[in-house]
Amino acid sequence: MRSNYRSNFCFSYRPIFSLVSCLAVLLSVVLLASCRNEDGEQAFVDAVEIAELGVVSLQINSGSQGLTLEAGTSSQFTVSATLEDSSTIDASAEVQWSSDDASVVSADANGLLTAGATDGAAVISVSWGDIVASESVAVSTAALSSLSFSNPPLSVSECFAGTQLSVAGVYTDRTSDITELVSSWTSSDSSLAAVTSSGALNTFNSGAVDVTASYRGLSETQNITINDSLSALSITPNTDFDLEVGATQVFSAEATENSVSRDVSSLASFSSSDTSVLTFGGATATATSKTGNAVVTASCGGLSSSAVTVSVVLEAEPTSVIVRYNGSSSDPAGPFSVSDSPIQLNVFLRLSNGSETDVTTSDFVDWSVSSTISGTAATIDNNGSSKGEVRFVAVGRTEINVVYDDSDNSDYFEASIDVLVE
Amino acid sequence: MKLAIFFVCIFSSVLAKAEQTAYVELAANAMPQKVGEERFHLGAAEVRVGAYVHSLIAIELMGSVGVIDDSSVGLEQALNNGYGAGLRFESPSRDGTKAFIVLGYSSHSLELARESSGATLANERFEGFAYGVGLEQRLTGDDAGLFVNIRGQRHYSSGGIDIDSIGVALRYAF
Repeated sequence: MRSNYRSNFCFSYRPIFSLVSCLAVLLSVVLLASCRNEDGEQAFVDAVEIAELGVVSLQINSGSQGLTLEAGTSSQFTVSATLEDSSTIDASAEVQWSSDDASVVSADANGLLTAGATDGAAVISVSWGDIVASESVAVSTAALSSLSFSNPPLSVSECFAGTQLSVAGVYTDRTSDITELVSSWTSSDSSLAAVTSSGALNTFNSGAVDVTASYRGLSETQNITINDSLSALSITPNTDFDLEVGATQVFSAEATENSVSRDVSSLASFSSSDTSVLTFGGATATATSKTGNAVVTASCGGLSSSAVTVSVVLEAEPTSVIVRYNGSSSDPAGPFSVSDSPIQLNVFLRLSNGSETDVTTSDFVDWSVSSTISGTAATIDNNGSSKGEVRFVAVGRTEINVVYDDSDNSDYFEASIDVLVE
Repeated sequence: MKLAIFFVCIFSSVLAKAEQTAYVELAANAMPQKVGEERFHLGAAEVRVGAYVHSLIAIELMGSVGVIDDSSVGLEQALNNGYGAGLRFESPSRDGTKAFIVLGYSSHSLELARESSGATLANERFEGFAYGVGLEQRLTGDDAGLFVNIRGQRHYSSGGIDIDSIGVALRYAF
């Protein structure tokens, strides 16, 4: 009796035990499956990437201040990796940065080092997988006494971008490049030249200009001559064209100096003869909502490009559909007379600018047999790639109807054609 | 702590069952792995033991060791060991053949070293949700007896690391 009772008890409760067992295992899986090893993943991926590239060593490259930073300032460091073939690549984005004394010099994940407020030195290390490199970086509280331009360009070409200026700081204990610390750059004549926040000189027209660098209340000015050196300026597109209202067109400009051409799109000044029709933002022309013509020219270095006329036109609108037989380019007249089966009909969407687009297999197109005028009815395929294909089995005359219905754009057109089988 | 909870759940589940059929399985696995853009093809021997909590559902534990290492781009990868557990859901047998799916957890310890120097670059354990499918054919007996099966599983897929296995196994069900 006891045995039977145990057996029945177990049998009757078995589904519950099974359910509990499964739920217990699934719960355990959910608990355990959340353990993602991100550090391990990175270690493996880094090791493989280093091996694939053939990286043999890393080199830390200091910012403009070198390895001695002015207290309280920051400097952008980079890392280059030397490969097995002796070539180098930029590895700044791959490495991990660390400092042995972050209170003296700290390093963020992007290699921006920030000096503390007191004198000292820290060892900055970078690692990529098992490859490491280190540099000692010092912090100095020495006072800054003056600024000076380092190897300034005494003359540069007109309409020329990116001549890098460098400024040295004269401290009581050293002289070092402080270009990256300069707080402001100014040009005495912005129509001739401008200086970017990183100290790059961009010239526009010839003449003489004073460039001034300032830092911590100190300033230094350098006179630079901009040469009248360009012989030609051209733009692309260089022929007249139409542009639909609201559309944009990017122009480019090219200057010629000593028979050598260079792109000056970022420096050239593009202009439109009618800004109510066409406006410019940099080298990008934007058609307004008004139709008309605008003459586009570019100028730089005292030169002007040849003119290009841009006609701003309305967006082409569908106006009708037309049915044609076997790719005929002429409009149909009367019924098509055919003797072979099947034949392919095509439907074209006509636009307001006179152009046509073949929409035979478009989802907007619906082909149908309108009526059998005489003899035996033909059939027309309305699906897939054979859409518009007419089949017939005997002589007769059938009217085929086609509807173009693009309800999203409120475009609805109909056309019909008679097919005469002889 | 998670591991403790896991094993408590597993054993309480098995003990809760009234009548069980157990099995033991020996498998030879090919273990294709992807690390970044590189692929390694390891080999492993695996033991699985299971207990049925339902006529078509079994709780399974597995353990494996690497037997074949592989090299690529000057790196050698090896499987130190692996273990895991899960649920095996079987289809009804038809002419001695049945399909099954496996859902569970697995953990694999992998080592990556420079082939030239033998220096270890990384030695990490990857664990998480695992799933797989298989097909099994009865060789002898009815419910109990000897079976042969093939099984493909994905053990890990995250952060550029994929760990898979595909293998053939002999299974003896009690």
